[in-house]
Amino acid sequence: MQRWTSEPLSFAYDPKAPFVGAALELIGVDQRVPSFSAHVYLNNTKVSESSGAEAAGYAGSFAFFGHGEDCWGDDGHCAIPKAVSAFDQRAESSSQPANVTVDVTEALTGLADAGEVRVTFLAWTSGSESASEEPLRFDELMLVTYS
Amino acid sequence: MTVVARVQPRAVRATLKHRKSADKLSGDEVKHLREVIKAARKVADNRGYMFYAGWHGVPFDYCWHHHPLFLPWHRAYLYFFELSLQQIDPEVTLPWWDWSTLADVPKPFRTGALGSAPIRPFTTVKRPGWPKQTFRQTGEDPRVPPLPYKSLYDSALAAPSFTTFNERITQVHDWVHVWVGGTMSDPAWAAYDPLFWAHHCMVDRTWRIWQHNHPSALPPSIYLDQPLRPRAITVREVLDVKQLGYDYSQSAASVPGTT
Repeated sequence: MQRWTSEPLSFAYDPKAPFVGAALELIGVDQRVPSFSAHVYLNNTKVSESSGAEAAGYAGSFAFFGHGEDCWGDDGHCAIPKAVSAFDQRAESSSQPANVTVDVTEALTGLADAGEVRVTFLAWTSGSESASEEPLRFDELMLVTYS
Repeated sequence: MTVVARVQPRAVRATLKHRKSADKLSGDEVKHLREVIKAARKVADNRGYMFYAGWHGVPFDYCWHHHPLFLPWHRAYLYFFELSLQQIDPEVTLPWWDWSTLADVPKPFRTGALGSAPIRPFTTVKRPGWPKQTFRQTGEDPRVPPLPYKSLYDSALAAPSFTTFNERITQVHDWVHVWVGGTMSDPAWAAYDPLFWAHHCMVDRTWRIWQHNHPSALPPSIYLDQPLRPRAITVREVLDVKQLGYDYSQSAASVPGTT
């Protein structure tokens, strides 16, 4: 199992005009990973593997159909190619990083007074009990609220 | 002087073919589908099952996921694969797996030719460790929510834009692949499993239903004229399933007319 906790993410909450939606945006998710599922928690950094959806701060879960960590091709097959010349018109790579959105409206509403949250992800590789695999890789995490 | 006659395009009378729910197929329909799939596996050239299964992962790797081309590409994929089956039998259509209501794999897809399949990548030298047969680990991962995925399906259908619909249906799609597990959870091998086609028919059907309710909602304009590899068909050309000759139906019956 993989565990990752973010630095604090701040958000504004106005009781007179509360947000109607909130989402976590995982930006630049690496697709060259084994398929996995993940649980998302807000302000519960000590959540355990067995906590599940009943734990405090549980905000949701998501699955990711990954390209597979062990590339079946030759060396460099899964690398994301860069243009080799100004005339390179090849299509973009389907392995390019993706974005994933997780709706956290309900969980964040319950933490409205906190003003900031730390996000913890627990991720499990599909069909594997190996604790060493870390399938969740991404560039940036953004918390967005909508009025 | 040479006279050259150009054949004009002509209108043809064509009846749409209807894809049906996998758990509603008659015994004869299941038997028929199994026979066609088995026959397709025996075709070793670029009309056969292994050729088309290879578009998704090993060896061709043409698929798109987590991207605006996800839905159009897989629609075209189903279309060309179904045509290859219809070359064997013009009456066969791909069924869908309704994971929004069913708690398990549809019964016809649990055994026999629809239950698993050999993996023989098209004209490719096999490598050590590659699976030789598809396998599933349905529902074995306790962290993966059990089927059916009704609320996720409803959420996707409630999406107000193509981009949001694409994100939400991708989520359900990913969950189903992970729930099935085994070779279905790996894009390299997933399309060798007969269940893959039923899963993607359900994804495509959901898009079809969403399109019906949002007729003017299109994928981003920069993609509309993009060809869907390896064929030349474009995103724009796969937007209307009726132009591709099929639709999804709960039932479809016809009787002879007056002529």
